[in-house]
Amino acid sequence: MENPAPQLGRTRLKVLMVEDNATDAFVLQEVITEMGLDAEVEIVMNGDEALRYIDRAGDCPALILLDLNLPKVSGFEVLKRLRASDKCGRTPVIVVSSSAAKSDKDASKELGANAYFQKPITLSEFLNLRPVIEKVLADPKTDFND
Amino acid sequence: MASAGQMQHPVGSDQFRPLYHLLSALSRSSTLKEVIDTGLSTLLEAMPADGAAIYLEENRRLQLYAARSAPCRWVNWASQEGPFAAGETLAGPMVRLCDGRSAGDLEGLARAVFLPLELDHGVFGQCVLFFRHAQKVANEESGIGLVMAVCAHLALAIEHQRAEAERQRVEHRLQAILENSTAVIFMKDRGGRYLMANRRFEQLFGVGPEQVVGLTDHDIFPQELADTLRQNDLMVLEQGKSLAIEETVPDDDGGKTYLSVKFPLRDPDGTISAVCGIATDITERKQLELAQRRLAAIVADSADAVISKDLNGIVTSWNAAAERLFGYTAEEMVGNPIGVLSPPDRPDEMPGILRKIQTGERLSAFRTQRRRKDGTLADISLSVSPLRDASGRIIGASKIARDISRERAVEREREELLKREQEARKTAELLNSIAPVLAKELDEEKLVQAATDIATQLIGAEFGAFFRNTKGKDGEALLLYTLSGVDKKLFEGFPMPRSTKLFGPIFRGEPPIRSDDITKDIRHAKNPPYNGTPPGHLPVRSYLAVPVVTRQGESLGGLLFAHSETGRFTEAHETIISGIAAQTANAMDNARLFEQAKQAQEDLRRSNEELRRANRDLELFAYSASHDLREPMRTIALSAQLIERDATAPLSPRSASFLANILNASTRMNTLVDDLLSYLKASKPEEGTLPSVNAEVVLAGVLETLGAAMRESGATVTHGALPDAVAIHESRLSQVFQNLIANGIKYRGSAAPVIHVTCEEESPGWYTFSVTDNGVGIEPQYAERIFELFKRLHSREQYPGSGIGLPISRRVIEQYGGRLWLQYSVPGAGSTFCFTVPRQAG
Repeated sequence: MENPAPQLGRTRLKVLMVEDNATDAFVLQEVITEMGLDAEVEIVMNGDEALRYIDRAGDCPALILLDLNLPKVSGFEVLKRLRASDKCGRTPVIVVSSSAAKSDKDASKELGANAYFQKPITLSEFLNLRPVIEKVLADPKTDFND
Repeated sequence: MASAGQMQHPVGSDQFRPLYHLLSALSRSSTLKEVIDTGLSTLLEAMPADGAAIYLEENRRLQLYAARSAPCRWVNWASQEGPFAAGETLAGPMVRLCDGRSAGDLEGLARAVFLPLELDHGVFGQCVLFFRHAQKVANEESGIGLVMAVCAHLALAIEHQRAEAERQRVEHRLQAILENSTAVIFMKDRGGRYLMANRRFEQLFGVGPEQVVGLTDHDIFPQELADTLRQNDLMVLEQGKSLAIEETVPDDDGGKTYLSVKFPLRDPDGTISAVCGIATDITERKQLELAQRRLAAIVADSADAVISKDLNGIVTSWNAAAERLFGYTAEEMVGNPIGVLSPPDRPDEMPGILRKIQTGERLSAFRTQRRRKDGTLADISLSVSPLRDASGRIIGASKIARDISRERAVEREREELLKREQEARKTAELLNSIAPVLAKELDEEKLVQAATDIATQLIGAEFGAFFRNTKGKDGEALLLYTLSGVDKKLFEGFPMPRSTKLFGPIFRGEPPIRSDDITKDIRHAKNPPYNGTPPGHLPVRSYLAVPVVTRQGESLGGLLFAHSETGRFTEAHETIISGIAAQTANAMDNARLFEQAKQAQEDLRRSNEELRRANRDLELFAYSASHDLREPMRTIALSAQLIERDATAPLSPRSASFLANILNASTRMNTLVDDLLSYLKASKPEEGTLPSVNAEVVLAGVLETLGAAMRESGATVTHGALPDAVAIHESRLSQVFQNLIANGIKYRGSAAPVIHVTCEEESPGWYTFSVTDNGVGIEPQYAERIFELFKRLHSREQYPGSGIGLPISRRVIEQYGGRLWLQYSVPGAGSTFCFTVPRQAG
């Protein structure tokens, strides 16, 4: 496994959040923060920025939370390019989308996402994202069976 | 005759003794021979002669009957030299002297005494005494008288004897006649007692000649008959003359008819003492007569003409039927030649028949014709036989003529019908063979060309054409559509036919026109400008035109056929062409219908596709709209929650209430979007081949899912036998089951829910599932409304839910070609929902 492992304790855990909805971004960040992870969450508002961020970054993020419905470059496009690139091609990605469509879930899996989380309508339900993140971080391979 | 002077008559007292002897001997004699013998003895006793002979008349001559003691010469001499002639009267005795010239020749005969045997009718014999000595005669002068007396007695005795013999002979003859007669002969006295009857009488009536004497008819015959017979007898007795009467007498054979000739028998004094009858059996003759009468009656009454003619053809008899058949009366025909009946077209037939008859041939049931008096011809069946006379010679002919005019008419009609039937059959076969050719051709022009070609060929036309009815700017016009038999170029340069008197009717769908020679048809020549066929036009004589009219009565055009010779098209041809025209019209109709159907199908397909596309677009829109809605709606809900949570100061009650409203509305909206998406999802068919699922297993899974709700409500769910191979995706069947059962639980009444699931294969290949609950039921007016999207019958507070379950279930089932409906519902008592699902094939 050549993926750069999350460097717990040494450096802060880097999380890239690709989210154009400020409310969602706020709530998601809260979930990560409340998990007690020493994480540094970088938020980009569209796919284009997300790709540029990855290009620029010295280290690949430990986790990417990726919305699908994004301006300019869609979440799927980002995922596709990410998986196709040499850099950060294996970074764990959790697709976080409001879509309940099975097709979106299937496409995400197809394009190499490690998990899919449908954004709920209540705050309390957002807490369900915690075990998903923990699982992906612990073993990014075995996590798509929800 | 010898002179009396030579005679001597000796007389003595006992000289009459021989006379006594004679008389007594004669009384004992019963035959002529005995009488003669006695006579000879008495003569020789009365005179001492040397011999005696007696001659009797036979064939007008006196011939020797018997002689005694006399030599032949004497006897012969006496026979020749006797003095008496037969029939001579008043003859006396005569002595002939024989000594002298011829004594030597007569063996010493000296004298011969000739004595006549004479009665009223004259001499009929002679007695001759012969003497050798002359003086013996002289000595016996007195003896002469004696022998004369003897002769007189003898003559009487002979005559008597002869008469008796004659009488006996006659009697024998009569007897023989009586005995052998086939006629019945009898004799009765005045009192009716039989005096005699012959053998025939005995044979017939069983009473012999010996017994019959003294009996009366009443002793022999039945009372009634005996009375009749007696009456007839009395008639004869009274009238005194013979009567011929027919009398019928019963016997073992059933009775015989006699022709009785009865006549009176008179005594010598003229009084009638008896009646004699000779009855001849005429039974056979009577029967023959009867038969003849019957035969005559039969002939007279015969329905067949019975005619006889002689060998010259002269009619000898003519019965009533002959009169009826030929119109001539018997008076007109009998005695006249039969030749008047001879039909003009076969003058040799009757003489020929007569010649055949003369050779003994017969003619039987010969079908021919004869001319009636009125000149018309009669169809007859003729039988002719030779007529023969008693010797078998052919003398004429008898003919029986049966009127078969009606039979012949019927036969001719039958033949005609048969011919027509065969023609019709042929036509039908032809048309049948054409039908498939025309029927399979859906291209109109090819079809019409085929019909024209076939028709032209079939009726042997030189050319045939189909003219199409078209509507030009000048109104109706005819367009030469197809042509058969000739090059189309031949028609170029001719104007299209107009609605002339010949063409017009055809294209108006009126009956066919057939002409043996169209140039003679008045309709042909009456059309300006040509007043006939245009110059240069193909020569047309035979002409046949038939309209082509659809079953709906639309005139499509006409088939026209022509031939340059006259009389080429028959009624049968017309029938055939009419058939082809009908089929052509039909086929053209079909072709048009086919075109229309094709067009309609295409239109339908296009509109279906458009509809599908619109549907798809709509669904896509609904789908993406739902997704797009979800994001802002969720943001609203989340924001509201964040405001509530992060408020640093308590919100005013009103603000708190508004915030709650925002949350509720956004949450409900989210649910609606979810439902809408579910519904759209249900409308999308699953891809891939249809699986086979076990309904019972699916139901078990659903019940597990609903376990909590069931426990909470105390629901009981039971089911009957469920199929194990249903052609539907498991998730979808599960969805439908779940919805219907959940509804049953959700909309429950006061009692615990009881739900029963059954299934039957109501039509082949289709299962009908029924889900029956005991819930609140549905008012009839809402029976369809429950299947509409987002329609709720109850308040959200009463029964939560978005009201999308039934529309979704219905869409799901419809995706598999099935139906889902409310079978029945009783408000307050429960409902039954049914849905159909295909059975897994195989």
